[in-house]
Amino acid sequence: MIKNTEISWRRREYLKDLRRHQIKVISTQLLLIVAVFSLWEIAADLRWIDPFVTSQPSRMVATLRLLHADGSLYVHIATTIWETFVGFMLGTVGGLIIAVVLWWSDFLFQVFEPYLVVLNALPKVALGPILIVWLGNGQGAIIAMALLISIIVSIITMLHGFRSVDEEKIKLLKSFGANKFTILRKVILPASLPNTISALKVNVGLSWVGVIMGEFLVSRAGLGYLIVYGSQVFKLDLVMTSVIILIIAATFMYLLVAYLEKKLIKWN
Amino acid sequence: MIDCQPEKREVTYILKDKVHLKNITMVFQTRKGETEALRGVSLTVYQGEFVSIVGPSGSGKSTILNIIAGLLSPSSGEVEVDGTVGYMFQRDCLFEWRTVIKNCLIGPEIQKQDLNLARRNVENLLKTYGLEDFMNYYPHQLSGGMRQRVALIRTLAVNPDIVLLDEAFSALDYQTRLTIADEVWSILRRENKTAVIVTHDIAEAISMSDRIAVLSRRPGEIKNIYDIEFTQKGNSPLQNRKDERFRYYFERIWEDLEINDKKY
Repeated sequence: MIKNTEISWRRREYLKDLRRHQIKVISTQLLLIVAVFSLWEIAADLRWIDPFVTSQPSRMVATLRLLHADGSLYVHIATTIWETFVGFMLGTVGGLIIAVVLWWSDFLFQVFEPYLVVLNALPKVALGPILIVWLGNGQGAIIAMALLISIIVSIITMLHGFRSVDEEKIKLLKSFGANKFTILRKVILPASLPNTISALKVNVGLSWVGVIMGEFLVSRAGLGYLIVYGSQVFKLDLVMTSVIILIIAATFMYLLVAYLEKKLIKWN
Repeated sequence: MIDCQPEKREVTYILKDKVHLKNITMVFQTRKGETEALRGVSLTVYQGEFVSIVGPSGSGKSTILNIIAGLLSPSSGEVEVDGTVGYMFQRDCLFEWRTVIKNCLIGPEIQKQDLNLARRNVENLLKTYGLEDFMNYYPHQLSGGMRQRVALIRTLAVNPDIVLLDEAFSALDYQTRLTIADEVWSILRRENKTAVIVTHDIAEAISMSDRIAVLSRRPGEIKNIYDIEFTQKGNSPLQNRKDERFRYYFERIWEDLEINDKKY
């Protein structure tokens, strides 16, 4: 690496190019979204499409205002986010605990491996009606849905991470006289942190799937409820608005995990 | 960085044995069958001695180290190890989520030693061996040779009496390998350690050791033990490579391994 107190002109050129390129990417991204929404608006105005079934940005803004005015917007958003958060946490923590147990005991791993594979292949949504019968048609069933969808994948991904930790690192700790618990704490968990976080990223998405599915089936509040309700009474404005809010909320939750990743993994 | 002047080793003739293996046999059981890795291996390593074990791959060299380290118990035979053991592997096995100093402190941490004391000790070692500026670096920021030196300091941090080196240099490029082997050798001599070195590199073994045990193919038996005596005593491994007797040992051991090969 050339180290100069003055940045060389080559370097400056390079940095400028880099920046220019970045600006180009970001502005194209913005332009694209603006174009889509504008086209949508114009197409609906000019009746190329029927805003009754496709809705239209200006109508969505109006809907948003309405929902904001009676405060129900926030109730629905909070309900869905809360359910997703609880489902996500339960799925992640539960998955972590079960993965640790299965790492600890080879016997249990061998016993449960085929069950995990089958449960993973099963579309968990099919269990929705059973959950409703068992847990009633309330938040319990919705959270259970989110939990069920995320926990199996969590267990499988985390366990895979635990089991692929470098054997020699484990041997090193053993040569210092480490017991199994120390090995778990000093090498297994920290070494598989990147893997665990990518499991979290997948989990966020899956929890949203679980919650929205659950809200479709039961519930009297939440974004999933708004979407189903809106489609039933043919208020596509409501449906589209809810979908957009959902996209924004999901993005935020994903960014939160990505931020967590950056904070936790400093060594790369 | 590290001064490789010949050490004046005081040769005291109170030969205290640190490692004593008697008639070790090791049989591994797997689903597919059993593998006899070692057969009737006896070996004694005395205080302050550097003993190398060479042999074809799969001859159970590493198994011997694992037995000495207490990570494996032999199927039969006696093992006596007097003192604590430190282990160095082919790969440095540094934890990429820990800084250099934290990597070095992993041993004391696990053994629940006084961490302040250990930290001071490690800082001194890092200073002595030219790594003090890199104390708070992460392993990926270091070169291969530096990483292996950190790995050595991690081993020394628990103050072992006996250091086991399992192909500790073979992952390094040739030049680094020679210098690092030289450095590690001087460090271990200076810290007055006993060393058991496993390598498939005959030249490395000859240049570093007081004695060399040659293993046969699986099941590993000790074919021969050579006492290495150079014309010039107390030289470093690099200097030893130029000694006139170097070739002689090389050819003898080479032949041992070759004859071995022809059997199969």
